[in-house]
Amino acid sequence: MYKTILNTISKWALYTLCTGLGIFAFMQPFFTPGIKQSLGYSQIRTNEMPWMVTVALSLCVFVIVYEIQTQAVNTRIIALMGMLVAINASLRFLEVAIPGPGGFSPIFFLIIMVGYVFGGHFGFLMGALTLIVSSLITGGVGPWLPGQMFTAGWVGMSTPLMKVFINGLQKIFNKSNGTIEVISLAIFGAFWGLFYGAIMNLWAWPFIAGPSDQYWSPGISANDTLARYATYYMITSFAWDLGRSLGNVIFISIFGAPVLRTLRRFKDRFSFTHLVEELPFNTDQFNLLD
Amino acid sequence: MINFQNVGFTYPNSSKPALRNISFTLNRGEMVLVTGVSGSGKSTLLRCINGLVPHFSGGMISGKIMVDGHDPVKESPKALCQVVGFVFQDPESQFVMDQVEAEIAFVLENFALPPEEIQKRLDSVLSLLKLENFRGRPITSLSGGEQQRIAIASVLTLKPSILILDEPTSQLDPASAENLLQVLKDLNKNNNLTIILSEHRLERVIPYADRVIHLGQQGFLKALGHPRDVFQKIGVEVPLIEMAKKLKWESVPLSVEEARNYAREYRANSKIGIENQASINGKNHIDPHNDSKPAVKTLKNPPFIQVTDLGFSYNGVPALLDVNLDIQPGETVVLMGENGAGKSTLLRCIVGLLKPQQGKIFLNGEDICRKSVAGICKSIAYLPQDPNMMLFADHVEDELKITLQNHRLDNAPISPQKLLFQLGLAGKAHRYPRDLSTGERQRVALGAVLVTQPGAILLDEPTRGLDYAAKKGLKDLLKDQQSEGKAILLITHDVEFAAQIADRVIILDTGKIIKQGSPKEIFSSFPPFITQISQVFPDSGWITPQDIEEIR
Amino acid sequence: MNSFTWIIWLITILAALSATRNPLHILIILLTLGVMSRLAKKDQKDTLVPFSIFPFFLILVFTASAFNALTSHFGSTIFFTIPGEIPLISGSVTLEAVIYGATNGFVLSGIFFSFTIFNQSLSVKTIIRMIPKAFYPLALIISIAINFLPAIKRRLEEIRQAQAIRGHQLHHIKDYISLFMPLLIDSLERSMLLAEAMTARGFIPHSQQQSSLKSRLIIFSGLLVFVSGWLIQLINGNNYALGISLAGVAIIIFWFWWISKNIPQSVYKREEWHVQDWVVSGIVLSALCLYFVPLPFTNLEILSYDPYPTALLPDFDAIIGCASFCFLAPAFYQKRTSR
Repeated sequence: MYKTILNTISKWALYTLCTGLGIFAFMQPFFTPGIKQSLGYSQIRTNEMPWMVTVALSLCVFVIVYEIQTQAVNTRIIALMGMLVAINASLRFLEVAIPGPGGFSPIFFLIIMVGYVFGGHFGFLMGALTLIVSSLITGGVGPWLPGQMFTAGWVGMSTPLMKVFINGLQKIFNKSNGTIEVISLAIFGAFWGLFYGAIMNLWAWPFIAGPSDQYWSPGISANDTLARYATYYMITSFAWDLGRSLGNVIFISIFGAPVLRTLRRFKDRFSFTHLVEELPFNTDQFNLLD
Repeated sequence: MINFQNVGFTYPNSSKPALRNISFTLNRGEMVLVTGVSGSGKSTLLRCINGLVPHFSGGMISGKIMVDGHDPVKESPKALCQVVGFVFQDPESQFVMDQVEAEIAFVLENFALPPEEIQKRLDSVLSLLKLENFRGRPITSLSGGEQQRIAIASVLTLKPSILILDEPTSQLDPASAENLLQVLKDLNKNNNLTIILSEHRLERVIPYADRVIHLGQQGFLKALGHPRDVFQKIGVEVPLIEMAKKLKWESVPLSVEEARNYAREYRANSKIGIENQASINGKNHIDPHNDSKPAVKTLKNPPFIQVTDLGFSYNGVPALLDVNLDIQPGETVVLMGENGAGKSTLLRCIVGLLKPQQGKIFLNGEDICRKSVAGICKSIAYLPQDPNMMLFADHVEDELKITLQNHRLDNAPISPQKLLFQLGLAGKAHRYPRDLSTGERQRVALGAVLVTQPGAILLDEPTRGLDYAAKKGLKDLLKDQQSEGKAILLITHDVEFAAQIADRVIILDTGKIIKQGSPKEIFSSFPPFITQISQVFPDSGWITPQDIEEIR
Repeated sequence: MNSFTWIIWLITILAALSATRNPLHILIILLTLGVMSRLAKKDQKDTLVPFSIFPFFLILVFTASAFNALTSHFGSTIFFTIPGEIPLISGSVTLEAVIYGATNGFVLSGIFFSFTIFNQSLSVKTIIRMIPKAFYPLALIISIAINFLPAIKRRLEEIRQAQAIRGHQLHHIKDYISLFMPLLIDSLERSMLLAEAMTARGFIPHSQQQSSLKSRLIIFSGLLVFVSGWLIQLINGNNYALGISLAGVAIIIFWFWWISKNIPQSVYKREEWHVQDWVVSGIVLSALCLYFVPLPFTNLEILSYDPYPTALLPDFDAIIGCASFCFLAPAFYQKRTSR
């Protein structure tokens, strides 16, 4: 009893630290330049910040994924995730094949569905592993991968939060059909479509803009930097992310209901008990074997 | 060595037990066949031996099981791996790695064997199963039969004393199936490996089995013993056995050679010889000059399907050459030939999935070259090899409705309920299609393509994975459809099934029609398509058990 | 050549790219990479976007320069001025900004091409095999996913045909449900068959000390050390604090390695570390040292180059420049072994 409490606390502490580190890593551009300038530290020589960010994110991904793996200790989950990741990774090819608007990406819809039906852990795995498998297959492993894995993982991991919201809505409207679910998840998908892009852009910013004195001048505060980032975001990727958002909404609205039904049907196969009934007679009789 | 005592098992969420009160003992080195109708619990029984039931499946188990000194209920499947190897029905869904060597080695890596030991076992098992040439090949490049051998190899590396196979040949063509069974027979005889397998196509395995376990409906053990004894008691639709029963032979032959011996013995002292002299002389006169002309029935109607000078090539490689073919309404034509002869290609050309480079195809007089697949399929029903690819609705009835929606038919040519009734699925209209048995799912798929009341039905290998009862059901279904005037063209490797339903037989080889004829011509005198009964009584004109008049 | 050697190569070349902002030096590294991509063995993969290197490089540099020129308005050599009050863009467009942007483009290209060469030299299977045993279930999931990808493509085609014969046509996006749902259902069912086959062969993952308290504590501390090192570096400006961060990373890596050792699983074909791996690693690491370690015959100062406030021609250190060609070492060894 004592042990389980300690286990749960330690698990959540680890998740929090990892996520916090990840967020801190992404938010670099907002406060580090300020710190550095105030110390007179010149940035003109090295480019190490993006690498620290990448290393930090890789660590976070590794640790979270390792923790989650302790949940995946049966062959059914492994085979199921393997298959789902395969499907999602092949969907990613559609990203290039269909010239959809901007960052139109079919992968997030399944990530959200899996997160919603099977829980945050598997949602995270779905996101992170889809990205790594599709990168491996297409030879596109790059420094952006840890950031993508972390963020896509969080898309899946955060989906169960919607359950509370959806349950509440269903109680208010007194309906338990799937429409509320699908609409809420579609909105969720729209939000993440934009947010994912914003985060990845944030990661890319220091790479593209170079060391901090380009997007930062002496004396400006975090707020101003935020304003600059917002402008930068609008110019570069807002349109792109809008495409992704739209894609998510379309996919979830159209495919959401049947996919949820199917996934739920499979989820039932995962919970089972096996019991051995007591023998009605004396076991000594069974010593004559062979 | 394997002992079951009063074993009973119920799956979770199930009200009826899958196995009831099963008790038997099997000895080391036996080759055991587990038979029974669909749903009788064969798969469940096999999985009890290595612990998959109940560890993987859940549910409630009672009774006691002992396998070579281990208790599978108390120990996990992993512990049982080194005693029992298990091979499954679908070759493709068993492998984790992509390469042969990697897959086999992976099993051993999991047991933490040192690399030298892994190397040794790998080499020995590859040579045992004659797979040395496949060492570095990707598994997906192998045929089904070869893949099954790889599966056997990977479980044999753990040196189990028992090998269990759950319908290992159901996805394979007859030649590969025969190969695989030969491999199993060799393993059994040379390595004293106890082999337990379940199989629908009993005639393949009966010659090799030492014992048969026959399960009845609802999971009871109905019979146990030597095949001869069991099949004496139990009726089963293996042609030789049906024949023996009809001819009232005292003992049941298990292979064609045995049957020939018995036939000679019994012919001497029974009425068969005398009676059937007449029928041999009078019945069919096989005309050796007549083998390429279309046969028997000449119906007045114009052909429903007409194929003229068809030629098709895949990327320049010819698959079909100069194919000419007519199928009348109300006629059943069976298309046979080896793998790769072009049978499926021909069907897909007819249905519009492939556009031939030469020749023309006419459906009910209309040239189909400009029509879309959807348009063509309103008048032709095509049942592909794997009907599961079609089914995704929540209810059986919806599958039929989806087809109607696709074709934009607001007034259904036949009501879904009526069609379901014709297909024998009346009570299952609201079931989830994928929960049904293989035979039932096939009929749902048939319903989905028959709902537009087409004039012809094309079937690609419909007998794969079906047990005898389901095959009989299919046969009856096709006869009903035929009597309604539909033209039927079907591809099969199953010679016995073809003999029972064909009006005409066409044999394809490397894209060309090499023989056409009536069933009696082909199935009695054209190897390798001779039925078992015809092999036993070569000149009698009998090709199926139904042909034999029962001896009074 | 051992895959770890490639990883070392990748890390050193990325470090070299990050160690300088002198455009000439970066260009030399790029040249090295260009030569390397010609020499290095290619492993066929279907790339997401087939492209050839040189045009891509030009586009990247042009975009980066333009971006910087339009958003950053410092510098004294002014080309022209964008009038108006457009946020971020209005202001003078200067040569210095263009140079700065171009340098960014060079660095980005360098990063991109290093990864491309790395990807092309290692097959997917090799990369998966490098995953430590501590992550065995994950490696299995990835392996299964990669193995079933071609089967999924095939099945999709079968499904498309199976639906076509019941009158299905693809007009709207809603029609794709008929393609996707059978694929999903069929794949999920096959995954259950696979799970059963895996169980029957003893592929049960090991669940021992993975979630123990001790394990979590160690990982937690490793992360804390990493973060503190980073914070110290940010706050104090002391680059050596990054060493503390490195220690944090090392703790975590060590712990995963320790767990991997204790998992009862063997490896059938282990990659071997040959002499050539020592040599290649040695060469690239020494080349890297020249970028960081002050030596009597090199001038580290020229590595830091700032076009602002006025652009001047950058200096060039011949020795460091030539050392950059050491990064070709792996390609040479590959050429030798492939003969």
